[in-house]
Amino acid sequence: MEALLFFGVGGLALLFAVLMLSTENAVHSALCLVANFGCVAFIFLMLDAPFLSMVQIAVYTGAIMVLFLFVIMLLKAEQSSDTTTRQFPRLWILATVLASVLLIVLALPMSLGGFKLPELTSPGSPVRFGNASSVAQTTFVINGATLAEPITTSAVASGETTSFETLPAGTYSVNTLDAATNRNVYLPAQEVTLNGIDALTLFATGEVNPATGELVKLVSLPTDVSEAGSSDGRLVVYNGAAPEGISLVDLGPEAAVTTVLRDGQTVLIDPIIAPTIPYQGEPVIITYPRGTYNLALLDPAFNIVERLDEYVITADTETDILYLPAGSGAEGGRIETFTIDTQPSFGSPKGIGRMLFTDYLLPVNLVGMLLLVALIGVIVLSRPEAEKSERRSNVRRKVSRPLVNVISTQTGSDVMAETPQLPTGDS
Amino acid sequence: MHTTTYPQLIPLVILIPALGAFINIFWGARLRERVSGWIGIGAALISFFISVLILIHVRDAHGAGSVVNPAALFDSWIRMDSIGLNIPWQFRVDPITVTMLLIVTGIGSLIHIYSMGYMHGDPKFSRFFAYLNMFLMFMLILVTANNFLMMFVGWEGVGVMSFLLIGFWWDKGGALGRKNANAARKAMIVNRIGDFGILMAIFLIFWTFGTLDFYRPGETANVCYTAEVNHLEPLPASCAEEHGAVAGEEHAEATAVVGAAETGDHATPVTEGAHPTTTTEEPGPAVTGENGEEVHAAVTLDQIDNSRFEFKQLGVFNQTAHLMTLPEDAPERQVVMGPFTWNFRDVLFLIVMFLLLGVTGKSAQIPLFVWLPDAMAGPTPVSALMHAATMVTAGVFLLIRSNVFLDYVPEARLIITIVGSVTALVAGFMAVGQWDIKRVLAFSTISQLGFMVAAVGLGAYVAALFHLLTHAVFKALLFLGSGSVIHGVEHGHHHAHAHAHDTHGEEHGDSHAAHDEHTGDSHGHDAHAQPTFDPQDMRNMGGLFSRMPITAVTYLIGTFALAGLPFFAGFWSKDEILGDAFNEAFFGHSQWIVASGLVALPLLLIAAGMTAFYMWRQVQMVFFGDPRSEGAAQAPESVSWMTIPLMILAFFSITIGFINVPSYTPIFSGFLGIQDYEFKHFLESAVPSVTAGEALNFNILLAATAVAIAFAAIFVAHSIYAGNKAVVNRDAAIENRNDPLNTGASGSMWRLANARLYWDETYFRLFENPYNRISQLLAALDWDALHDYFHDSVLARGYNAVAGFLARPFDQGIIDGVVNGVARVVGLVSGRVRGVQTGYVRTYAVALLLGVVAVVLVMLLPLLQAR
Amino acid sequence: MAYPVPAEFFVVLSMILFVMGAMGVVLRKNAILVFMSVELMLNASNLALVVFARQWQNMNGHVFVFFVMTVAAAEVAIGLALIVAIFRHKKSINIDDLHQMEG
Repeated sequence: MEALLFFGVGGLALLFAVLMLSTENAVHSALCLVANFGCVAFIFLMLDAPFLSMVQIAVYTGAIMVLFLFVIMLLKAEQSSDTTTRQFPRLWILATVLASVLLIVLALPMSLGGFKLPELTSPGSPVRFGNASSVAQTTFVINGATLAEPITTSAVASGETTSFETLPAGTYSVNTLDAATNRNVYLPAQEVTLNGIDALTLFATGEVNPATGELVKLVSLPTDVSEAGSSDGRLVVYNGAAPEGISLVDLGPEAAVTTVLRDGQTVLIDPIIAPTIPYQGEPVIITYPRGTYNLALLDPAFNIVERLDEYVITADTETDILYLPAGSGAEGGRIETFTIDTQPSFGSPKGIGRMLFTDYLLPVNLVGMLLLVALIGVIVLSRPEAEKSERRSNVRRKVSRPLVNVISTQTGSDVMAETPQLPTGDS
Repeated sequence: MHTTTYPQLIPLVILIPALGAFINIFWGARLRERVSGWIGIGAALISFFISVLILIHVRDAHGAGSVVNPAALFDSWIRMDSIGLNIPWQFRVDPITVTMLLIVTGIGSLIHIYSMGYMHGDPKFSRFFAYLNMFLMFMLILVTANNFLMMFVGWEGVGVMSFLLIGFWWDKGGALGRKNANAARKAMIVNRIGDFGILMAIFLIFWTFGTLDFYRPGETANVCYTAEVNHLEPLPASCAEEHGAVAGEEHAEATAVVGAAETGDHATPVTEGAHPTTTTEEPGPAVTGENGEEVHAAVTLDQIDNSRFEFKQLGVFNQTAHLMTLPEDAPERQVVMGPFTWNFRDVLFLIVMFLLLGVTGKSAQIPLFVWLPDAMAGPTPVSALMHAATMVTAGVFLLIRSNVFLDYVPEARLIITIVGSVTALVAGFMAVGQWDIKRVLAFSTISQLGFMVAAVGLGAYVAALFHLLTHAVFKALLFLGSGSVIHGVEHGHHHAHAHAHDTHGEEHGDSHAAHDEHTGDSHGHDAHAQPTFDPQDMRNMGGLFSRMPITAVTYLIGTFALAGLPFFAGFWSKDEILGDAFNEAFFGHSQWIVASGLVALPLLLIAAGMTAFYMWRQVQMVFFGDPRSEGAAQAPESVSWMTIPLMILAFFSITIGFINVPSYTPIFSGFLGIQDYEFKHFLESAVPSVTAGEALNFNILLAATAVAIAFAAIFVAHSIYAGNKAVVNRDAAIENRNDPLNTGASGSMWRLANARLYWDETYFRLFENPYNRISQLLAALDWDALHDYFHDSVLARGYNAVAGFLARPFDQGIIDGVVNGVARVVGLVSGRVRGVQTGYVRTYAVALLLGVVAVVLVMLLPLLQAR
Repeated sequence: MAYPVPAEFFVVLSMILFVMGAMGVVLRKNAILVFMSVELMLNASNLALVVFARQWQNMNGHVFVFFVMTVAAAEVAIGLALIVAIFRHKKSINIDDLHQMEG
């Protein structure tokens, strides 16, 4: 299907280009070019560049070609006698030769690569580590077959995460250490398998057992830094403390559970964001529109286990919500949240806009100035000519005279005749 | 009181007269006479005041010498590291310096005051004072110098000022001005011959010693004396066992300040370049700067003797002393002079001989004295200052400063003695036959300088300096007195003829000044046919005693002092010289010394007699008898500007001698706390030979003999010249007036004396005439042969030929061809290449594309090659 | 990841369009048409940029295309203003009529 589209639209583009070159009428040429641009815009769409395709249509065809057409009409240039001129009768031979040469030269690099562009290989899975435990600072040591030596992350404070580290696909063992004492706080080392593409976050949860000195469990949550939706935030909810399962519910403005009796069964009216989340099982991933909500974790009996009042969900974020035991033998649990910004999708205007305003801020400004200068230039160039002043006949024109004549008139002597001759030998 | 910082004022002593001169040169013409004069006088007085302060300091320090560094800027006045030359601009403060400072500034101040009256009305009044100040400055540089080169700066400087001041009236009309200019030139040129000697001596000194400094900072000039003063027992072995009778006095006066024998005030920090800063002195005890306090740390010998210094770091004098302690064949005593090596003692002899040459030039000894009589063409204050008191004594000062050199070369001292004694006698002889009042005094100066030089040759440095001091006082007095007389006679002449003739258009002061030259013309009297009146000619004077009493009395006092009459200043100094000559002649311990004494004694005695003789002749001619001209008959006394210095100088002529009385003069010793031989002790720290026992003894018998000779001479002179017998034919025309000695047997001798032994004429015949002839011959050779023929024909023709060749085929053909060819080629090529610019856009577009292709290919080249 | 249409095809398309634009620059004598050929060339290069951006999953390519379009717009404006100004003088936009600056 895509191939068909490609050959069709591509061929159209080529056709229109040929037509543009051969037509005598300038307006026809311009219209052919417009069509060509349109085809190219469609090809842009095929190439995951929606923003650019729209810009192509708006700027190129909509503005530039319109400008061309205006000027053609202004200058009445639509008619022309012949495509080649008297001056260069056999220009088409030269053109053909040049075209073939150019084509060959441009195709050379591709031929060297066997007309095959290399694939994009994924460098690996991005992995990051978080500390949701009671240990003040933890470090993580990763060891694996693909690694030359173990990687030790920096100390992670409680409630913080490291940045992403890209690891190739493979199996790794992760040791969690207390940064203060450098002792393992969880044994045996946790096995993690990476597939080399998906991102992963490993959280250290739990608390240290005073008797054994260890009880910290590593929880791995899938991380997806791609965009959730244009104005949605992504939530990843993990249940680590409620054996019976919990669900994340939006309580509404009154922040209370609203149930209704229906058919003898209590039914929850409040929207359920994330249904039953298994205990210590796979986390539930949901996207929710941005806003401020009163959220709560409910057990299956619709009792509030934990509240999250005035919780803000921002767009372009992914939040890991971990429900963990309270620790120190206390009842209930606690919630830890970790938020990360998501990347805009490929080719989206959001992505381009973000890049323009961070990495490319200076070029944007410069291009803006360039446009301003162009604007001024155009205004200046298109001013009407000044009135031709009357040439006065008696205007003295400065003529540059040779220096010799100047000297001769100044001194009153014929300089050329009196040029000193070299001595002939007698003084 | 803290006198240790006084030496730091020394640079002011030089700068203040310089400032005075500066002001007078640039703004003097706009200032009134009084202001301009007071600026000059003020500068001289301030210098005198500073000299007094330095005297106090030196006395406090018991004669310890010190070296003053004016500013860090001057530490390397002349510095060439490649040959290891470093000559700093440093001042030396020691008793010799102080003596000279006082003489120069004291008498200089008095003469400045005198000039205020003398030069009144002169159009170049302020310039005169500027010149006087500049002279003062140079003379002070000379006496305060710490190395030979700096002293030479002063030496040359006073020579220049001598030139400027002798020829001060060079702008008198006609022959007058030329005569003055000639006199100035003669002085300069003759001095130059002497300067050659000094320069050779400086070169030799530098070559031998590696330095020109007299003393380095911290050096002790006279170790034995310093050790004695500091009561160091035992004294160093090199010092003599007995120090004569003077040792006793040492202890007596050394009780005052015990601790600080030399005030060891160590270097004060350098502040700014303008201020004299470091005063490094000879090493003192640990108690520094506390003069007169009771605390005294013990001074050890190695603090004050010069063994702390590396031998080559010493100044020239201590190096000499050290070298002479080494055996004859020690390697340090060999001086390498290019291909041959000389012994140190021979080199020292040569140095002293060259110094002597310089001294004969500056101090007017035989053979270079001929400039001094002619120098009387300058104004009388100039004659008094320069040619009596200060400049001419510079040579003697140099010899006294170099006393360490002279101590080791007794042969050279014999030659010096001979030169001095012969000069004394010959000049005295010439003085008898002179008519001009100033000429008599000029020859008298030469004669007395001969005394001083002879004293130096005898080794009596203290006596020489003492005589220098006393002579400066009374000779200045005599000169100033003669100026007063001349002024008076001239005034009288004016008054006499003002009644007779009314045409007297000249300015008062102008004609005054005009009569100071030794000439027969007088300005104001050209209107009438009358023989030209020379106010300086003694034949025109007479009977001035009653008309100018102050002048006469002071003049008489000066005469008595000069003649050496008892208890006047000259008596003590002259008889000390004679006493020393006697000692050396009969008690000398080496053949050279005996010879010196034997030569000096009779010649000096006779010269002393002649001194008395011609001075009494002059006194009789000038002041006694009847006036021989109208001018003398109506001469008024001079203004107080002129008479007050006379009186001051007369006072000192009487009293200055008492600073060096011998020990058995009961009346005078102890007067005003002045001990006997005070001056000698004062100088002892700078003259090692004094402590070594070569004491100067006063011989009462010899003194009586000398006084007897003087009285006899006066008696004889009185019998010949008394009253109206002084001039024969006194009513005849001036040229016909004659001296009573000019008859008979003594006539020929007198005429020789009058003609100055035909000395100048001989020089002309020996040197100048042949020189002129040769230069004329060479000039002819140069112009006719060299210039006319060689230059014009050979050189010019040849040059033109070569130039022509280079011009035509070479320059025009080849070089122009090449250059033009290059231009043509460029034009051709550019004409072809021009075609690239077709002007068609299409062409350019195609070119662009081709370029792109090329660029892409170039970029792909590595890839293609990899394949 | 392998796309249904391999990226090489797009690149070849871009090359052909570029060459055609180049030929248009050389062959046409109407100044405006020359200009349009230049735009075609620019467009072809944009296409290549987008292809490679997708291939390497790098958004910088898109940004660069963005800039190219902007600058192309400015260039077109100026160029057309120039052509209009020249037209006022020469009354012709045949580029072969403009060869005053020949050597």
